[in-house]
Amino acid sequence: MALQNEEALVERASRGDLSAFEALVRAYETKLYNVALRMVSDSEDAMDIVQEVFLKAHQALPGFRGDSKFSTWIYRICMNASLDHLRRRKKAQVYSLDAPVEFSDSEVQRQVEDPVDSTEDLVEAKFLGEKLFAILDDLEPHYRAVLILCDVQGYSYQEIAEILDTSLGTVKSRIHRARNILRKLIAAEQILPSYVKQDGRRDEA
Amino acid sequence: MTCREVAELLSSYLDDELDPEAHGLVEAHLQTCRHCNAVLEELRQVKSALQSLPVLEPPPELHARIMGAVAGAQAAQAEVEELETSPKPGRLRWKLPSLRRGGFRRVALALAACLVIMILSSAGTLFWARRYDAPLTSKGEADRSMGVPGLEGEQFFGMAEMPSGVEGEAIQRSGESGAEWSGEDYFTDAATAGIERKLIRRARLTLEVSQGGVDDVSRQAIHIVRSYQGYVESSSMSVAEGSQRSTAFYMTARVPSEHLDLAIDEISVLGRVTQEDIAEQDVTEQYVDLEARIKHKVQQEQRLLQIMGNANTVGELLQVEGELARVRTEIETLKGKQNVLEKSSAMSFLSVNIAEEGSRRSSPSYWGKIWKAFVEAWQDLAMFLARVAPAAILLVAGFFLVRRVMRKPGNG
Ligand SMILES: [Zn+2]
Repeated sequence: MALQNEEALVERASRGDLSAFEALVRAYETKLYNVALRMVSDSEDAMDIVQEVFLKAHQALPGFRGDSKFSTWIYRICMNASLDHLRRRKKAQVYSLDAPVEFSDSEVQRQVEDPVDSTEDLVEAKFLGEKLFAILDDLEPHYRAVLILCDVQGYSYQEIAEILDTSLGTVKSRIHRARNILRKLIAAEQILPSYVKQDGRRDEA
Repeated sequence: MTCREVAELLSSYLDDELDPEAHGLVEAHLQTCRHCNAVLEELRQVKSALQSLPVLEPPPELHARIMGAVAGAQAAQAEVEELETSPKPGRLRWKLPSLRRGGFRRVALALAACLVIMILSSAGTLFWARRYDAPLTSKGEADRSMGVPGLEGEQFFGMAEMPSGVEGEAIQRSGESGAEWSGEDYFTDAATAGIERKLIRRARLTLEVSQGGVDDVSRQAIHIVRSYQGYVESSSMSVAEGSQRSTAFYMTARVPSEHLDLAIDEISVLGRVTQEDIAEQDVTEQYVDLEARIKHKVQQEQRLLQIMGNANTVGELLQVEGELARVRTEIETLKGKQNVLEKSSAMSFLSVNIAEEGSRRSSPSYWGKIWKAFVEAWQDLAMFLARVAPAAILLVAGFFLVRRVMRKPGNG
């Protein structure tokens, strides 16, 4: 959607024009649904979140000043709603991968020692897409948030900082840490073929 | 730069988020260090794996759910705002200053009288407007529509919430054909012959009922939906207490497609129908296409499983395994899309809006608008005077006091 067009829509919507608001819903519902889905890993919950996001946006739109872009603004509402949702859910949730792999940078335990075992593991392993999803699901929500925004949605660090209402430095270090966690988890789970030939060189020097 | 320092920057380097100087330093290090190159490669794989996550289509009911909730909230909000901006005459109390100086008193009295007239007359016009014209909304929001009646027809029925790949080739029938289609008539397309037609239907119904009837009628409408094995996805009831109590109801429901027409007929007789639309979309081709692609992929899967059984080395096994994973993911995605189509065509979308007679905001006529502008300007003027009055009174009082003191210095 052209930017100018969007600005005009936002303006009309903030004056209560429901059809303009609907056009904005149409432009963003799929994106936000995907963000929420990657955050909470549940389609029903993601739908609830997106509905809540648009309700909030509709309510707050008359006060929307346009200091930030509409997309940044609505992504921020969505991220906050998703993080809230996870916070509420966390009490009932058990955090685990099926094996004790620590998230700290230096504590990846599982290595490929026995080629026979690992082959069996591989045959029984879940498939790449699911696995990525599962691993993403087990990341700390703030790490997940930066990776979803950076890699899945393609936002720049600066935009991510605005969406998450945090500093550029925080974004930088979260992405760095999140990717390294994933890198090591993926290696430990051996779902990317290129990791098979690794030779204990995995630790950073 | 040491490897440790570089490691901290590799992720930013990968995202091209380093300043030129740091970028150059990392680049130089990467020229010589195998280890850091390997780490970078692993990071790149993480990034591209995440980038390759598919964009999933939301369930088609999401859009209706959002709009239902928003329209309901907007209707409720409009009511509240209308109440808040109504003047409350009982609360306006004016205390005349107890100064006894003749000149000032006349001025003050004149001012006060003027204000009282302004306020009374603005209350009067407001009352008049309420009785004989569309209800006034708050300033600047006269065109804010109340709930769904204001939705622009086609938009609500847009097909954009369909699964990807559908909207492009969709054959959209015009609203009037929403009546009946007899199966055989459409069985002419060779590619889709012998397949049950997959149609997605969306209906919208707006009813007006007598004052106080919304509650009862909405109950009956929900009952009708359920009696046809349908279900209500979302509903909202907005009630505004005030000079006149008004209630509006909105729901989005899913009704088995074969019962949609019957359900609409039954709901229609509950009130006066002010709007009825049915839109229909034929997705048979998409459905058949998906089926063919799934079949093809399943065959591929079987072949890969055979090859896998005969694999000799880990390397071979991995290669096949990777391919198998990809094929299975594709099958899942295709099946997901097919399920969405299946469900959407089996259960039609029905949205029902019920409002009280007279509460629907009609767009005012030309003279109505002029009258409204007049009333609003009058109210603005009264409001302005009320706001400046205290300052004006103080200024005038001060002026007279000062003049008095100046004229009779000995008196104090
Ligand atoms: Zn190095």
